[in-house]
Amino acid sequence: MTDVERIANLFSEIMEIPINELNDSISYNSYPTWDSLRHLQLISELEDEFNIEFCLEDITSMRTYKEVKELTRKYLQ
Amino acid sequence: MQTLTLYKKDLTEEFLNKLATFLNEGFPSETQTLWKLRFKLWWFSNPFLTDTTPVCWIIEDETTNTLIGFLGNLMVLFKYGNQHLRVSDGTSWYVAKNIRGPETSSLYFTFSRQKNADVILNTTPSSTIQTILPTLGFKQIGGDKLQNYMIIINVAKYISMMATLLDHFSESQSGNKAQIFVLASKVGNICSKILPKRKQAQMPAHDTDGRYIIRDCKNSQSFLESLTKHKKGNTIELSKDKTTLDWILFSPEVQALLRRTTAQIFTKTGEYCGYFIYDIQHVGKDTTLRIRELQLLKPEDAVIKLILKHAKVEAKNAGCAAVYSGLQNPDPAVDKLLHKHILLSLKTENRYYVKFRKNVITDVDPYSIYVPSDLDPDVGFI
Repeated sequence: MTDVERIANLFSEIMEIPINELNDSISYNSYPTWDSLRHLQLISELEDEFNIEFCLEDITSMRTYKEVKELTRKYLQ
Repeated sequence: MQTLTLYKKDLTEEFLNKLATFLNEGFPSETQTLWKLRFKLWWFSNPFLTDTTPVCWIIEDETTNTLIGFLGNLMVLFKYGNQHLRVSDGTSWYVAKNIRGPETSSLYFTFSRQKNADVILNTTPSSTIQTILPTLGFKQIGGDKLQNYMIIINVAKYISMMATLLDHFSESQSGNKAQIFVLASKVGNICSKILPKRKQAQMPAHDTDGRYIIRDCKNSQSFLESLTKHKKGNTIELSKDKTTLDWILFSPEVQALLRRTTAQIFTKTGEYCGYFIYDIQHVGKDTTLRIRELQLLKPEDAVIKLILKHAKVEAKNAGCAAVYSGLQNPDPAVDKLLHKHILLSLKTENRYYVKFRKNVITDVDPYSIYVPSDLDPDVGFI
């Protein structure tokens, strides 16, 4: 499984959005499920999955699914 | 928006006034005066707060210089054998209702990642936050439910208090649940007004039954001496050293906020039997007497009866609505006796969560030997 697929699986599971409906324009609060608590959960589970630790600036910058993927991948390079 | 870590030097009077106003908006049943008493206990009288320990984290709108988010930090010491553990508890997490964005998560992350703490506590999470704590690495201590005991002292005040609580709960609910809470709150308010006021009865002596005597403990020294008589296992729990006891049991700040009493029980011949600690605590505009710890060398029916008699009289004298006890980790024998003498009991959700930093304790699973108390932050500090 690629890193992007692992991110997609986690994101889909936490936000309760079917994986085939994921697209880059999904943004914070555009789906009722992506609230501050799910955001906490997302960050925490991404950190566990990839054994990384996001900096605060990146945590608060993740406003779209596209940014979630890009910022996570930044730590994997 | 910016997230800031504040230290003791940042606690100016102007900031504390602003913070009390902000938290009063977030928790409407809790007055600004109450918040200021809390700040004194949490930060100004805390002997474990160094200049480099965060007192809280805030989110501020720098363009308007307005507070929009807060998470308080309570730092205490726990003990594991001879090892001291720095324990940080997050309290009173609130973000203004109109602010919703990833920035609000920053408060939690700055709290949970602070380097000053060996252990992170969360003992009063909302039911929503509670659901995600396990995914954030927290473990619930003491099972899903807590057994609570209650003796109603003043029916009208009790109903009024419940009405306030229901009104408060309705704000955090939606749909039918909110309507039920609102309705119950209104009925409660009406009932509390129309119920006839009972005359204050002359109470019998409540500090002795002829066999046992209850005495208030006035300082940490005499309490420390009696604590040595209680058996200690290989546990992780709140440190009951002199510095901690002077602060959490006997400081003017704890008295101003919680009117905390430490009482010891002796036989008629002066033999030490145990102790109990209780607060006269505000619940909205009403008060309750809350028993926070109860430890007996040998649980006996007569001692429990005397403690309850004492608590009822003290509660009545203080104008309390009820005596309440929801002991964390009670001695099963004490629990059985409380159950025998208190008819009103109910199970509530246990909300005590702990997270140990990696490698703080390596020789044992720290969660398996953790002993929670109702005196721990933040439940014992608010």
